[in-house]
Amino acid sequence: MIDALRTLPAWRIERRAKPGGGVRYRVGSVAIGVVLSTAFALLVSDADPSQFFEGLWNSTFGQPAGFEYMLTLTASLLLVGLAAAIPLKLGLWNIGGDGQLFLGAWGAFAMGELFPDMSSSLLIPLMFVAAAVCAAAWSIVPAIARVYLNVNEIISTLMFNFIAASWVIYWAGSKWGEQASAGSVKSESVPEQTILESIPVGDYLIPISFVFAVIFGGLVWLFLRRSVFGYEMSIIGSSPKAATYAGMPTKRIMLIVFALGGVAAGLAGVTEMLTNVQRYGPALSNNTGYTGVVVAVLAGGFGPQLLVMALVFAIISIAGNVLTITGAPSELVFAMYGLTLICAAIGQGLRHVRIVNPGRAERAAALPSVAGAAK
Amino acid sequence: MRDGLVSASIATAIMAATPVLIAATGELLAEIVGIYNIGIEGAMLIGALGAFIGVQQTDAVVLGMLAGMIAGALASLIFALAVVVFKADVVVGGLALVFLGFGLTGLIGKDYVQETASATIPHWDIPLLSDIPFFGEAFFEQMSISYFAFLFPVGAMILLYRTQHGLNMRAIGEDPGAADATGLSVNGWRIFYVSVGGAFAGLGGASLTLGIVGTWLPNVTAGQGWIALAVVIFASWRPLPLIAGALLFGGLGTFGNVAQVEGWSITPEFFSALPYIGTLLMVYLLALLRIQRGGGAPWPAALGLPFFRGTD
Repeated sequence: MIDALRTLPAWRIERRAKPGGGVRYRVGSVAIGVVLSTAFALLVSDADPSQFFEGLWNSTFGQPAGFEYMLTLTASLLLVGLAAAIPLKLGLWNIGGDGQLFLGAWGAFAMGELFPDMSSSLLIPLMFVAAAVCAAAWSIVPAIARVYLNVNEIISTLMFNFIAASWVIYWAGSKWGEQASAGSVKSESVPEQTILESIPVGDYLIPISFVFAVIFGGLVWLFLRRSVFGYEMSIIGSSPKAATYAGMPTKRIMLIVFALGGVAAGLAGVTEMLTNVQRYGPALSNNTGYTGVVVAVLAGGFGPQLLVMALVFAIISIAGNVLTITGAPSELVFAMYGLTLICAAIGQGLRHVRIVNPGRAERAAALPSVAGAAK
Repeated sequence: MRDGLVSASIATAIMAATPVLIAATGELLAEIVGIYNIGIEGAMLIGALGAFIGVQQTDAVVLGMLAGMIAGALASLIFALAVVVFKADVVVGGLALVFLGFGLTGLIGKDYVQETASATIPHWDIPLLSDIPFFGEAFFEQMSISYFAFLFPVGAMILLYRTQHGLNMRAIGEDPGAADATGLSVNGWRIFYVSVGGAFAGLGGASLTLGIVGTWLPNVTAGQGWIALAVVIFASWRPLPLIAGALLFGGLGTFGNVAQVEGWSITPEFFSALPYIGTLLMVYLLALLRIQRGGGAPWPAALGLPFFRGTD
């Protein structure tokens, strides 16, 4: 018996010369994460699985209302996903999507306050531009601190989220507050003509916000693939030193890229405000900006897979909603995100290592005797 | 009257600095060996709830704090294994810990929301010192844990700069390859100190639920774990300045109160944002000064980089 134990493999983790199996590991680990977190959620919430899946189906693909909501959620998550994914191409972390979202919505709401009677064909574009400008301005400060002061951008962008949270309460409550509202802080409604409708397709409705988000994402994607700017970005992302020697304006590009991320999050703020919430207030984001980071990380790069991941997380988020109906707390969905994320993180890490058993050859030779000893 | 307000504000600042200071000390230890755990917010939440449940079960505040430390350490251990053994990205792993902490505590804690803690951290009036007018009230009538919290960075300084053990820790953070060559188990040390950091974060969370707040609330930490990370940066990865950073955060938090008493006509939202604005501005300012002096990066050279033994 002791001899058998001695010949047991000494498992060891070794570095791979080249990280392998990118897509395989990514899809596999995310799938494992989604399955695990769903099973976990079902287990802890005591929900009846068949009822749960029926509810989930009806709130996503099964019924027009659910489908429409799913796509509005996907639109927001795609935009905040872009907010994290674009800077991530340079290895920069934008965790400030939440704050940038609130600032974008703030700029847009301010336009509505200033020009309440403007026609929608002018006011809506104006709101989008204001959202982009405000969010970009908000995101550029941490970027400047990162580029010129070498202050970690994760901490900066996070602190800005907390500052933005106070900003929202101030404006939604004290400035634009609806006097009648009790409980949660929210502003009065946005001008009626600015509310974004949905486009009917058969029995189903496609929200304009979704169409906008996909077009915006697609354009940014094409731009970064085709332009000199995008080329320089990819060089900086893979080798900052080489980029600097080649005379590329590394610092300026980092600032622009961070601002572009801010713009995407700001647009999430305005589309969310003009589609679902229709007011300015904390309800515009249920940690949406943070979820955007998860979407970007799991998509593992900037491309069409970002849209897929945004949809997956919209569905997980709806699954969380379905479970709250049967009494689960609203925080449950974040535990699901966390579980999925840790699976994905481990999956990504495993690409770089190989689990080896140095004694495999000897063990194979000794196998009959080991088997005999074990009996 | 004015004296009373000032001494009460100082006392409040010290109280508010306590959880941040404890968590920041733990985070510093983890970062010194080369792992930054941005999931400290999650570990703090898990510790806060663990401590609260511990107290409700045992009615003993020391056991509650112990439960909080264990809960925080276990949560960080999972993170450490993912990052150190499976080479998961530190940022992604840390974010996962934040999400897990937020989600799991919301889930498990829902039956405990606003329950009164069956025992709370006692306040200790230091004999003689607490009788000094003004200073006594300001400094020496604190929660017991606060006195320890301000000693932790001193302990960390002695550990890191006066012992062989601390030298090993710094070596692992600066040059894990060389440390490995001297026979130190880089992964083992890293896993251990990330877990220790988690235990500190858990204790910080415990000082919130069992001390300052006295109950469990969802997301009770409200970003104090993130502040702890900022405080480590503020302190340029040195133990003693952690105290200044935590006091800065705690001190800025008292201005809302002062404004109310003094009747300043400034919106309360400004004061709720002030600790974050002030801490961030100080971090920026210190970074600017460092760059003007031409100083190098203050963090451990291998911070955040995965360690692979050899290359084959």
